[in-house]
Amino acid sequence: MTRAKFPPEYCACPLTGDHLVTYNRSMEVEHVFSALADPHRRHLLDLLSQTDGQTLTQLSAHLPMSRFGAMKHLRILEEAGLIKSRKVGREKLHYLNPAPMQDVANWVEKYRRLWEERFDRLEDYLQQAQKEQDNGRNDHDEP
Amino acid sequence: MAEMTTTNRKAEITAEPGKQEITIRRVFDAPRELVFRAHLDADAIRQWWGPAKYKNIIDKLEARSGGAWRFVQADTDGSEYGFHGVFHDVTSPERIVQTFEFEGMPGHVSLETATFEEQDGKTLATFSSVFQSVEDRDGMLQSGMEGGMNEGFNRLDALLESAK
Repeated sequence: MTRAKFPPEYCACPLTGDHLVTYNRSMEVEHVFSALADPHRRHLLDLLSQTDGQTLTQLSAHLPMSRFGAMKHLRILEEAGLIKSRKVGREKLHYLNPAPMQDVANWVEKYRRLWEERFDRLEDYLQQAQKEQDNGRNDHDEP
Repeated sequence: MAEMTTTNRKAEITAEPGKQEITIRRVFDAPRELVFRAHLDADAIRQWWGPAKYKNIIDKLEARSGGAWRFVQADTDGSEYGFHGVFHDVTSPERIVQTFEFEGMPGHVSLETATFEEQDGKTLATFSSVFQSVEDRDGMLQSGMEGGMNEGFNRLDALLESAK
């Protein structure tokens, strides 16, 4: 994703090339978001949220793809930190790790707050406009 | 799990992973006509559009189906940021459909639909933005993160707390 896509409307910083360094943390969040973007990967997370600690064989049985395809998706989820795996004997078990999901939720929350600030000002305006409307009506009633 | 929704405060935002859409819902304690008008009236827009630290200049506002709009946000240091688009559909008092483009990133256009529903004298406003790609959408969400780092959220937090 290009860095300079963000309108300064929301971004007080100048559009310079050092964003990648400055905003490392949001890049991680971006990683989580793209991992979540695929429906098969979300399905895998759902499966693990129902039964944690499953093998590749168990998980790939639920997906319309080869073992190799499922493995690829599991790797992306693991790279994004959304799942963790552990070797138990000969088997590799996969576990859900919901922490990065919280990062994404925080990300959306901050965007929401920007809108909240804007809406608070709209509400101030609406209250003011209603007051003026009411006053105008009273002026007509009692000149 | 698949959907990121925050509902703890007044504005509710929904951004589903892998989709190109952001939906925001907010109830305003005002009649629908007034909320609708506040989106198309130059005086109103000057007062509430965009972050407070910018001065809003309404360059063009043809608030009708087929009309064009262009707003400029001016910073205290003299920087100006332009936004423009066209109104596809303006149906009073229930719906505004328009395009949105930041001039600093030409070519990244989103389609914005605002609908206003009356609810016991209040107005439920729904704002949906559809971006050209998932990347554009996530970039816009991410900009909230970046803006957030600079806007001093502690102050806003206090404000929101007291407003509850």
